[in-house]
Amino acid sequence: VGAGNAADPPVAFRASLAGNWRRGREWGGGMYTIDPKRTDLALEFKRNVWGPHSAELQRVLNRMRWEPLKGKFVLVCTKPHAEWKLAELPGERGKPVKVHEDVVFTDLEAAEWEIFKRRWKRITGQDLKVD
Amino acid sequence: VKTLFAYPDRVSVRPGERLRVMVSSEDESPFDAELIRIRCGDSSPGGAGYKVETVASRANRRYPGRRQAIAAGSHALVPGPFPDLASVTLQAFVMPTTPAKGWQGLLGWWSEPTECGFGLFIDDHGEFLLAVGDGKGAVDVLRAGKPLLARQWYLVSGGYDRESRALVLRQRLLSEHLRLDGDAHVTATAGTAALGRPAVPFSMATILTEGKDGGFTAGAHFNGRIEAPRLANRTLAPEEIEALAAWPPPPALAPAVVAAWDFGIDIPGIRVHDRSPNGLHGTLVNLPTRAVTGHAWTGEVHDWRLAPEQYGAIHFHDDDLYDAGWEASVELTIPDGARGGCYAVRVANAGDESFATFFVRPPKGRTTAPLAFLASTATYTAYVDIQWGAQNQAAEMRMGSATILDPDDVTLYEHPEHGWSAYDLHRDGSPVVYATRLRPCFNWAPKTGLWSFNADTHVTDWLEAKGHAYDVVTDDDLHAEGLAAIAPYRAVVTGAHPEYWSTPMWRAMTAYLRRGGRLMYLGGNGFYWRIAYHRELPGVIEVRRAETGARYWAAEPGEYHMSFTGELGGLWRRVGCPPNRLVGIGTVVTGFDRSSYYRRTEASRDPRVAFMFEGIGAEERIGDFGILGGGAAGLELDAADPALGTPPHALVVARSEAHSYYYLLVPEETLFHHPAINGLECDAVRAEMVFFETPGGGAVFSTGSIAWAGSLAHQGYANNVSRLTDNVVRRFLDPEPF
Repeated sequence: VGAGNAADPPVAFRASLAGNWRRGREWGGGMYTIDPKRTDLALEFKRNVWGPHSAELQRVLNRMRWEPLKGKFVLVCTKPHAEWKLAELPGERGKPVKVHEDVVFTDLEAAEWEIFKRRWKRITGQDLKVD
Repeated sequence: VKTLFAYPDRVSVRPGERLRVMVSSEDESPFDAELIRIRCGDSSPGGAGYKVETVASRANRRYPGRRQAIAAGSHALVPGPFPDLASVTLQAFVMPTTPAKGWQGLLGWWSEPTECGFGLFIDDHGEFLLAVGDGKGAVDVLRAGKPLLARQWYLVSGGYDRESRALVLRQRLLSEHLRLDGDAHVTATAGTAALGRPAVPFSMATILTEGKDGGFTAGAHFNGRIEAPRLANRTLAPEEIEALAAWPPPPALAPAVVAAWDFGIDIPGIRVHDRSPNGLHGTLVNLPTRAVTGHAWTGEVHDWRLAPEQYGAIHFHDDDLYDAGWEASVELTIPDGARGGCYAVRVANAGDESFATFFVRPPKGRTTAPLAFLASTATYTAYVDIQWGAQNQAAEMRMGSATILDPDDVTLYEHPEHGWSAYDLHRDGSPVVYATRLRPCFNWAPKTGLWSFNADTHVTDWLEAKGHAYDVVTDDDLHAEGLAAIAPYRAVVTGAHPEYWSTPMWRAMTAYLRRGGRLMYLGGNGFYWRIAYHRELPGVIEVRRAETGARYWAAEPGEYHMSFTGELGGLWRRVGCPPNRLVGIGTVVTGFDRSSYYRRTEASRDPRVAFMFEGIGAEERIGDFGILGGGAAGLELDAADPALGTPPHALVVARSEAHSYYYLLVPEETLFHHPAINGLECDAVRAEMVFFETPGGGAVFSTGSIAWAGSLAHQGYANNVSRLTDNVVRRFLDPEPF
């Protein structure tokens, strides 16, 4: 924005900014929010874990996958190419990785679905109930 | 649980030469060692298969196990001899990066646990602290009383006067724009009647603890920068401290100077130089980062060679590591007649195994084949013990699937003493610019993830399956020997990902092509980052992720020039040598969920490349299969670009398509980001396969995809990726000029 200063932008620029702000309000003020009623998106993921996914499900996944490193769900491989356990990163190297010893997977699709459900709860505050 | 760790002292050896393997057995249990030749390290289900053979050696036997520790953390040691000092001043410019982490040594002649000598520290309150002790129980400490700010420069000084027993500690915050009261000036009267003389060296960025046997250990490492440390033989007035910070000091001050270290001298080296007549030079341990800006960097100069006085700082890290320095557990001579190739010493106990991986070349002055496989040892070194998946919030977003940690990853995560890769950040958030292989190299081994070394064994596996004899030449050889390392070979074939290239390597390959050499670049994201090897130290490379590129961190402003050579680091493209000029294509895309396939272009019908497509239909999808994401076009993709130097006569013979949402243009291809840079929405997301002839009757063939080699073994090597590659190898080995 070469012309004018930030306090007094050209009219056209101001108008375009206003457009962005309006749209931002429609989205709920910025960050995409997962609507807990959209269990159809969860079902889409369950049926097709590896994608490609609908644009709306992709947004849900982007929100979930941008999980902070502290407490981030990961998988720890316990038998090469055969068995994995759910784990959480401590967020700082040198601290132990928290392994959920009782949450064991023998295929990665089931693991992805479990992480999806847990993140759904973390983000929406509601249990994901789908068939 | 990992109980065995191993690494070799060398990566490239010839028959008759000695190799030493360092092993740590964490539980001290014995282990078995065997020399193996690796054809393929891919142990994944549906992959090319784990194929190794044991090579007879007297070293193949059981060994007693012994635990060997890793002592990470960089520091400087000055052995002396130091004169008797009744009174002292210590001073330096200091920029702490983790002032709140707890005790950190800055500089001093001080030893624990005797508390002997004098030193400046950061204490467990995050403040500067001066300590003096006679080593017989009398100790005085003086704390500045002002918690330090991270990433701000201070001038700090501490003095002790024996006559008056005065202790004085001063700090001055150098920032001109922060409205902060960061200065301090505190005094006290000491109980200590005389300074002790520790039995350890003068040290910087650590606190030394005396051992029973006259040795010492280094701990409490400092994170941050130190510049212009000084040692004087009396207490100094504030204006004297300011004057001594520069060099040379005023004549009246000269008699007081005991040592005046200038880190701007010989930045590529590992010595710290004392400008005083006393010559109290020291040595750096564990490669702290040099060629970093000092407190007075103006922003006008970006090349440290032009203004070393602005680069008189060293950035120390408590997690720097150059050489684990273990004692050799297994020593062997490479057997005469050993076939060239990828090798390892495999060590195993009841519950674990590890590999010390290396390469065997033919006897000196001989070749055993017209084809050389160029093992990307520079790239393997850059990736050693990468922690990116567990350290970068974007990792899962890039993979499109949950991050999977194998036992190696968990061990590395929980044991920071193993150091980092050039993809990681130090604990203080600053970039890891040096990558070393002189430590257990978890992921430079067979049976690991299909990346870097292990993915390249898809190439050696395929060469052996098709009966193409080859010698191995490593990046380290190419760097050290130049053109001579590859000149005897009619053709050179790369691995899947020859990403890191030093200037001598680049020049050697350019010279090779100019004289009729043939190059098969069977990968993607190649010839991307410019790196430097160290002039004295083996096994370590430097990378500065400057301005642009697909980066995991960005070099600090003013720190784009490498300390090892002074060369501008970063992308070869930004240096003015895009890979397109060398191999016809350059990186455009990265993506890590699923791979795709190629289709032939109109140009593939050109008679010049008829040899390449023998047995391949005009409409066939090429490589819609493979162990890496299910296709031959995947992971990191290159494409032609005449504006970047793709030769005008180059033929784009195939192009990939149908890439996913997770395939994204690299920053240097997007400039001003927008949402449609992914494979679903952007037609620039593709790989291009290129062929062109070179002067002297040679030629270049480039696939432009890291996943390519992962498709070679599909259906017992009977597939169109294998066929096409084989067509190229046969023609490239044919002496008939192109």
